[in-house]
Amino acid sequence: MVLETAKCLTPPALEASADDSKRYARVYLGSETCEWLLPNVEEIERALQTWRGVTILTPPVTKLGLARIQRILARFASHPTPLEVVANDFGVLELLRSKASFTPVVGRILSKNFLDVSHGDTMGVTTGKALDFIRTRYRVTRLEWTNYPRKLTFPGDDVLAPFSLSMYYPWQNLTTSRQCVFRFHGVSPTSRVDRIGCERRCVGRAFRLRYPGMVEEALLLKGNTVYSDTGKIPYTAGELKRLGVDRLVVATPNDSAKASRNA
Amino acid sequence: MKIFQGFRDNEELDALLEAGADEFYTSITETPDIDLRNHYPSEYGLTSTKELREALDILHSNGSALFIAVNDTFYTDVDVLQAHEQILRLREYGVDGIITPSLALLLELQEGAYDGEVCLSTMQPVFNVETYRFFKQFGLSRVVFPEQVGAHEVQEILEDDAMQTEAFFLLSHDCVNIEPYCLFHHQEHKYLTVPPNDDYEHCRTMPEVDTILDTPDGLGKRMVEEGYVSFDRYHINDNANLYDFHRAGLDYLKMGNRPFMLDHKLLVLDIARSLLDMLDDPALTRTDFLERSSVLVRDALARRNIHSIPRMCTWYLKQRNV
Repeated sequence: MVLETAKCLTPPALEASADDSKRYARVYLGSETCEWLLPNVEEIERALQTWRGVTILTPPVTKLGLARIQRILARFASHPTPLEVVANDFGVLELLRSKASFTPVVGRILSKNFLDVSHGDTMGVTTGKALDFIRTRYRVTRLEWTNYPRKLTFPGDDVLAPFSLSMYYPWQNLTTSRQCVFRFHGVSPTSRVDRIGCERRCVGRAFRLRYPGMVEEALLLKGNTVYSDTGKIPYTAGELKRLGVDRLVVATPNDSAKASRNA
Repeated sequence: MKIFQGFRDNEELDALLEAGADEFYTSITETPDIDLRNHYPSEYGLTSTKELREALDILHSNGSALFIAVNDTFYTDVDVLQAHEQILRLREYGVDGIITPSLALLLELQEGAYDGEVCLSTMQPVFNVETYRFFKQFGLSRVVFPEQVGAHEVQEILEDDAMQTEAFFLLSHDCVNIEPYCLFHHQEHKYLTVPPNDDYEHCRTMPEVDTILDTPDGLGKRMVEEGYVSFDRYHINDNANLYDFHRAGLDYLKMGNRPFMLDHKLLVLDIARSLLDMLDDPALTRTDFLERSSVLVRDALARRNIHSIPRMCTWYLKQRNV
């Protein structure tokens, strides 16, 4: 099993990240938390020209995001390079059900339905019935999760055998707001939310949030989401292989955004 | 539109019925034969089958209904079977329905003998019609929208008759963060070093902000310092969202304040009932409702010396018996 590496990029950072395409086998283009950062058709086409593997990263969506994803699926349904789509919303999985040319992946937000870290030092795995359901009905064969601050073991049975696992690091998403400080800045409270656009003012911006005496760690604010830094991966390559992890996803979106802004 | 009220203790029921709640929900944990996990601690619900019987007697004799929250998303092969058995036991006691976010549990219930109602919990957020279709396949009776959704965003779902619909009354519970994805709310101790009895104190506090990356004019930092909040209502045009939901045919208005004390519940319920009465007037325009409702809410809160929504949130937390 070869360990593949992938890099998360928001669409505005794509141009400035050409070098990353040599370091990483795959780009995760889009956002797992914000539908305003979904790529458009042209951005995906550019990514396909530069990167060996392209995965469209999608967040939980309203009808706005759903329509954007539908446009992507319509455009790339018969593309010679098959696209992966990371779903973090069961509705996106439902959309992908009838689109055999795309490879559906359960993203790290949605995978909380299937994998759980609240079972001590062992990764909890959901019922065989639930796993069979997403595998047979939605053709899902990849689940994603985040590097946990503590080293975990996996259950010894083979319930996860039909699945590949991706592990994101080092940023762990802690909470996502629907009232993004960047999108809503200067917006009147009486505005209708479906009429508020987004100028992507989060791009090229990231902040550390400190709560002295309340939270020991500094939190990281990027766009509509607060993250923590889980640090280095506590597993060796051999251990990752035994866990079934065959892909590492680098989730530090501001690196490339910085390059984009500096450019 | 009916009011769906959370409660934590049977002693609250008479007052809440009197104040206009239509149907009720709570949890039941730590009894010898029923222990259905929730993300709230056990003291926010029933802890004996004697209490369950009493609640059912009170509610059914008043023509009301009782739902039990089974608000855990994740189940293993072992514990889903236990939960299934206990849910069947709830039906034997006479419970009308359950509230669950769990795909694993829904798959299990689908193959069993359970014949009560099933509400999809807001812990499994439905922001769009395709997600609604995903869950529709399990024969659910009701979908509960996330508290940060606007009526216009889920219009197609409101127009579909397959499930009843339920939305939060925003004065009863305010947070702009999407709850099921919020590790501050769920398991934060696993990810962060916080005091053992942390009660979302940092959520109510403006952080110190350091720039990692920004434009030279520092605009981003100003946006964060001026706009970063957790406890606030999502920007959905204030009470106009209630107007939009009402006019679109929402079936239930949820009072998501189960953990809070009776005093808080009665205040919010009184406001909600007054607003719904106002909405019974078919000629009432959206603009008129906005104007009249804001006066009504402001006056009701001012009578308790509460003058802003964040202050209301602080007041909620002080009211919690923890």
